[in-house]
Amino acid sequence: MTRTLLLPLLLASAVALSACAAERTEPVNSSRFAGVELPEPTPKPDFVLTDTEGRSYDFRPETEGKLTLLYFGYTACPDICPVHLAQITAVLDRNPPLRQQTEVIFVSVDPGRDSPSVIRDYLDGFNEDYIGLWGSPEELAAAEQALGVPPAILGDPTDAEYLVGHAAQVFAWAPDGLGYTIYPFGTRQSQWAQDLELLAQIR
Amino acid sequence: MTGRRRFLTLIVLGIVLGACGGDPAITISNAVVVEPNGPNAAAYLDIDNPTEVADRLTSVSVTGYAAMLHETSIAADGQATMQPVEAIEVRPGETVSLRPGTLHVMIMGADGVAAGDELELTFEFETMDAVTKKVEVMTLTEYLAEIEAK
Repeated sequence: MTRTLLLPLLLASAVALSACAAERTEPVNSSRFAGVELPEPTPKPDFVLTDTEGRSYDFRPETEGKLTLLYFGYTACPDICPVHLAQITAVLDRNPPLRQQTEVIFVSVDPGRDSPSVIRDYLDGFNEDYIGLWGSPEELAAAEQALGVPPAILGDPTDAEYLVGHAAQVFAWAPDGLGYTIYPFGTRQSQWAQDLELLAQIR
Repeated sequence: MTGRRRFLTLIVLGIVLGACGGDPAITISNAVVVEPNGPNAAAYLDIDNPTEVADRLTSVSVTGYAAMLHETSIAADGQATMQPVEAIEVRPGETVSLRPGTLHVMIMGADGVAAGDELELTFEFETMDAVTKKVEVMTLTEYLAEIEAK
């Protein structure tokens, strides 16, 4: 099986496992991670988008050697998008050395409303070092496919409050370039703190 | 105090206390508006129905802003969607909590709203009289710390 096919399959398994875990009444977790551990470590995907300065951002080389977190979202989302980012920010703000090692990347799935400057303003409310990415629908679809997540849903852009659907989990890769875990919505700060420390040491 | 005056005082006190108690009614508590980084803010709260009759929260209006009831749903494949909700049912004896990742009030065009502000929210029910509350705006970080501590 090629790596292109393997990564989405592993991520899909992890998402299904996280859904099962949420339904259990008794937590069963022999993993060293608080997040949802992937069945096996997975290499970083390859995709290219554009950052908020208009520069081409080739994901794998740009993040090489760094603890990397990636989330798909949109700036008009008042609920789970800012919560994920605020949880991560709160943990990193309490641990500046960890903050220095961590690249936080927000990929907008809503190009109709999220211009580069809108994304930049939004992320600056969390941390000016966070990286905002955007792209054409085709480039975005390629990134989503590389990560094994369903394509974002975009409603009628002429409706001011059109529906947007997107992957709800945060992806993480250790500095060794491998992904060990994903983080569904609801991950607590204590869980982030535990796992980011662990992941940062995997080199 | 004579026996008669004491008796009258007790009756008056009883009437006053009885009026204070009243019939149980649906209440809104723990209401918070979260300061947005983007154009839309969210409000979270609890709706407590101590009565013996079900009711439905049919709308929430916010003075100066457009607002609607919304629900975030996360499918088994990890896909999250946020959609308007027609109404929220509150059964007798139940508390419905509006929290991140589930039901919430979306307040639109609220990018100027900042922590420390106060917004006026009016909750319209199908049966019960509307309830209006002043709700504090707090940062998302403060709010998350508060709910994580519970």
